[in-house]
Amino acid sequence: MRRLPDPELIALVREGSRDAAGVLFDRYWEFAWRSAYAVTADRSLADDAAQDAIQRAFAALPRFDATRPFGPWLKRIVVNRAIDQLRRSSRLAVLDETAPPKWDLGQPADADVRLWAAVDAVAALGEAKRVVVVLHYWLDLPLDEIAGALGIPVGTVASRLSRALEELRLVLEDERVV
Amino acid sequence: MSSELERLLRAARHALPGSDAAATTRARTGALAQVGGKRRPRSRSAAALGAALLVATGLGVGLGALITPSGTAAPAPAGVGFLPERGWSVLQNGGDGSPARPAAAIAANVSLSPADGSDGLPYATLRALPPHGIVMVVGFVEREHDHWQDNRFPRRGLPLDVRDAAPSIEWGVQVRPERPLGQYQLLAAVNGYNVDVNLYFGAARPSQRQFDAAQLQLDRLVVRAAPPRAGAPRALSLRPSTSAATAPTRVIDRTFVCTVAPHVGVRFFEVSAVTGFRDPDEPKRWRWAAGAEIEGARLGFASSRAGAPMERLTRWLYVDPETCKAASGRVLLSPRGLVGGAASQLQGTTTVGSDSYRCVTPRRFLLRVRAVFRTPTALRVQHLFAKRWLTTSTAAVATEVKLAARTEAGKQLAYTEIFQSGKARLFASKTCKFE
Repeated sequence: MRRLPDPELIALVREGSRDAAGVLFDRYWEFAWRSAYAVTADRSLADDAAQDAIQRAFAALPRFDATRPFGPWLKRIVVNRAIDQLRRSSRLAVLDETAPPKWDLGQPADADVRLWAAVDAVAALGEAKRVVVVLHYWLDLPLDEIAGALGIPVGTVASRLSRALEELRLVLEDERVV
Repeated sequence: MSSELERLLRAARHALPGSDAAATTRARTGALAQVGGKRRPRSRSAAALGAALLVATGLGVGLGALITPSGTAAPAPAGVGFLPERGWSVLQNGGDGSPARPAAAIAANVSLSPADGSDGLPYATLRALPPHGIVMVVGFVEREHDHWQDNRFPRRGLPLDVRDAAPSIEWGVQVRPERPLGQYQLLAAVNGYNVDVNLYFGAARPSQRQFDAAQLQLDRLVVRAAPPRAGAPRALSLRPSTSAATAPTRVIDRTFVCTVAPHVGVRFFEVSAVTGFRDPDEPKRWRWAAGAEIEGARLGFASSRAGAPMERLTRWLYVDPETCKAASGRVLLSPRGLVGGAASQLQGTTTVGSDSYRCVTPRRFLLRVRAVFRTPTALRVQHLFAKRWLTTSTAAVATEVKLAARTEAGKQLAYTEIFQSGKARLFASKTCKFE
């Protein structure tokens, strides 16, 4: 069952197979969680967003168009839930002295130093720019899809992305990473 | 240059870590519960609430009729929902307000689409909402099931004030991007319920008249006191302390409830941290590893180090099992809302680091310890320094440790993190005193 392609797994899940559901979950959970974590930069928010998203996706499988790929569909749900979590937490933090977000990376191997410097630089961007960068470069969303998810014009997404790249370039050049 | 930067940015995603086992297990259980007709209702979002919505449209329909289910709908909660204002339609679901079966209510000054009957958020109605249209979607969940959630909802009285609602477009999901809706959210703790009010206006910038109209319907929101629930987890449930000892693992993530003895009439703990320091004469050798500690006036609650093995350092993590017992409860591993930053390299005299904060606490506080080790290990009780400690094996070197403390009521008190690179950061509530 672990080698079955997604459409066949989904068909089995629709028939009530929990084994197939388990395989489908195992195949996509880590992807869903990392996507949520990329957006939220907070493990707890990512836990909530990814869990909620994958539950929604599984609950909606009977209505899912199996001719479409499952992964991108799940990713859109995850992104929406993660943005929603971030929005709620951001509003609550308005009165707090918020520290910049930071991904919990552990310790780098030497080969990872450039990547981690890039991650730190992305984390240091303002939230508006950070989310756009993450959605575009880490989750591969096109600009119009980002605009739809955030409820802002495509031009605003493009300008945020452009300003973010300029900031990142300056920081990473200064650190001799690029 | 730009393409190199973009390549680097795309590659940087691979530096992110994976989820932990507990979150995976929770999510797996929840996802599989959706299969084979054993759906578990989601609890946190109004958008996710509600199947089997009952429609009660029109004028003068009493609350009893609105919340009394018919047919095969589930039992209704004892008194949460909308009384319809003139010209409004309302929907209520049959949830009982528990986290497993949240209650939901919808009010609209336009006709609700028949297509919205079986889903939580009335998408069809919202997609077609005219400029003057208003839709309110409200979720009700009993408090005291999840302290972390409870903290998000400030206590408010009825009637709720629409002026307390905050715009939620910027980071929210715009339901209708091509003609944006005005989206607002109002969170309130009322009569034992967390009430999540989501307002949708047909115009992106609603007029004062629309806000006034929304207020009239919001005035008719009813939230009767939640009945006491037999067996409901009103307080933090504690597991036996022996559950802290587990099979070996590389990641130890435990939550404890720690009891603080008064010292000269005051209960407090001190949280401290020190950045690692290399020997100036032998830069490859650490003089001391990064360290973090939370200790009381007499006893340490938890102490940790992260980094290369050193002389005299035999274990990397200690928790006092006499003052701290295994517990459940969410403690954020985050400096959000706290003040602080990188810890200095100066060693303290009585604590791990010279940078420390003193935090006055209630009699008990929640402590979360998360440590990553190079090799699998387990927290086990050992007799060391003339007392019992929960500690790891001598061979297990921690590569990172995070300690976080909050009150049982949910106020974040302190957070510290240390890494084998020597990096250490220390944060505490603004109410704590820097020592």
